[in-house]
Amino acid sequence: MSETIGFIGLGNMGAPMAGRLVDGGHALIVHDAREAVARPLLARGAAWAASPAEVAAAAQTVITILPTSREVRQVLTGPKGLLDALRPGSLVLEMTSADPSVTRELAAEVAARGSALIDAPVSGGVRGATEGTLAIMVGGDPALLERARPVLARMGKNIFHAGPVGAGHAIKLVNNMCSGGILALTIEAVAVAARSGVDPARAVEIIQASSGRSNASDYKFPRFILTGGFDAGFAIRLMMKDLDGYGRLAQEAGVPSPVARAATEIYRLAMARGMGEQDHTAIARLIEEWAGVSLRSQGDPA
Amino acid sequence: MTRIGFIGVGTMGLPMAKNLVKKGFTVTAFDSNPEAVKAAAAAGMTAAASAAEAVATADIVVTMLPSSPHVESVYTGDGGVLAAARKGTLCVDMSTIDPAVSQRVAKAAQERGVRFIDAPVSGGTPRATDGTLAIMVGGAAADFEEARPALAAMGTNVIHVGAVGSGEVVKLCNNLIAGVCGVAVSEAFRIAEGFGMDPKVVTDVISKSSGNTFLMGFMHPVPGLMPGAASSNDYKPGFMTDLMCKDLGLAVDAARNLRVPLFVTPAAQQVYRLASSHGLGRRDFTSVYSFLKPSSGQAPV
Repeated sequence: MSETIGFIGLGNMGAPMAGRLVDGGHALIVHDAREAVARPLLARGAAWAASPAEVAAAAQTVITILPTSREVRQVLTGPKGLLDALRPGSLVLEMTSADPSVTRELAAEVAARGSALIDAPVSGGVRGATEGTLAIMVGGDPALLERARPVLARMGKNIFHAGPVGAGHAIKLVNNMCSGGILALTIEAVAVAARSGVDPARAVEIIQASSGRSNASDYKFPRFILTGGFDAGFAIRLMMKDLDGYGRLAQEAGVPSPVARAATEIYRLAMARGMGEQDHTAIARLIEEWAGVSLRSQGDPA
Repeated sequence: MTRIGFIGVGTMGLPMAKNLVKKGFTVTAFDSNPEAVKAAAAAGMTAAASAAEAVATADIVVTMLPSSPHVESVYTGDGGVLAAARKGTLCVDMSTIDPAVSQRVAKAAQERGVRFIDAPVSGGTPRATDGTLAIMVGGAAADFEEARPALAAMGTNVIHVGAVGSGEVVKLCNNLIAGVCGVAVSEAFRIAEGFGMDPKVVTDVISKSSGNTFLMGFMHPVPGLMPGAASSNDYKPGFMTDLMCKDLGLAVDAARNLRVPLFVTPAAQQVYRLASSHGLGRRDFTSVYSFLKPSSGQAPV
């Protein structure tokens, strides 16, 4: 049996990731704000902790994967938080898609207590979490990454060292900006193609075989938009959070970001239309409405 | 005579405080920059060594600071205004900041028995010097009346617009429009000039048409049309590009929190940020016109 791992945050991503660790033979002690979500893991042998502090008392490697930096700060510095009980030499693996400046601040607080925090956000969705094929981007001392690698390797296939603390969270925001921005642009461009007499499916096929190809033309358009399924598994409100995070990052970095800004507001408009819980590929519905054109494959029942 | 504790005697604060002195107010000044305090002392103010010292004997505290974090820390930080001011002191924050921060500081002030109103200004350094600023005030009516004589020493249009924070709301909306107009007027005149039009003629016509704006009438971005405008003085501010970036940022942030989709404002903000990256950050914001210089006539269209 390997060392005990603490795991805080058993949501859509956290639960399958924790499940991979249990299956890999790790002793796990888990916590979530909602005790009920832990039951399936407890049935598979994980132990329950009533607070983050109890997790810290029982494990020297603690994973956090939570909705935003706000919850991460609360779990670390709130009442009965991790900082109350971390034993010196502990390692926090912060896997939330979080705000890099908050991460750097929290890492400094953890370091001041003789432990370490590195950021290790993931990409790959629920499917990647379930299959253990996530991409993991790590910010922090490379030696700490090596210490964490066996644990991370149970959850992800491509593990990258991105740079110092906060760099993992920064590149995660940058990636999601690319993903969301290119998607919005490709949808708009395919609508223009459709109004110019090119069938949407044919337009995507041609872009994919030419210099405009991207994850949008390769994957999202054929799988989730041409079919009308809109079920890639990442909600507009979550994309919104990351696009706004990118905007703050660009501002802090002193880089003008006019292109990203324009794309970001498309998602905000979708939010304003009450589409926050819909899949991010559903911004195509808005653009279809503006363009007065359908982006589904011809003959598709949807 | 009313004693004023004045914190933040920089580009805007110093000329404003000088007008208070001119109208007979007793002013004690503090700034985190010692050079600014020296300049205030040379203008007849008492120099204070700290914010706390500046407010300890004041009837009215005036703050004129660069941004929300500065205001929050000057009021609520260690040795800050709220800890040092006597109970009942009236604080007038004239900085341009996030309305939510004004409301937060007002609440903290109330808990300490201190009164707080927001009173941001419009008009830039020239009108701060002349004492002709527009001042938009948010706060209790009685507090507004008590502050009015001091405000009247600094501005000519002093308007009570509502509860605390609402001065900042109006200011933010005003600067949103001014900032967007700065880009719009600059783009329009670059197009007109591209067609070989005389900008003077274009200005005369537009000033009598639906495109007329205060910005074109008083701060024309094209050099040489208006002797008093920043554009005719090598874009000497006036109101700096970087400050316009900051104010549009406040509008964009407020819209994000209110979930209002914005397209034109963030685009305009990005244009100013680009202008700033091209060395125009400390020039007047209307220098965005010079940033929008077209490529050479030989370039293919």
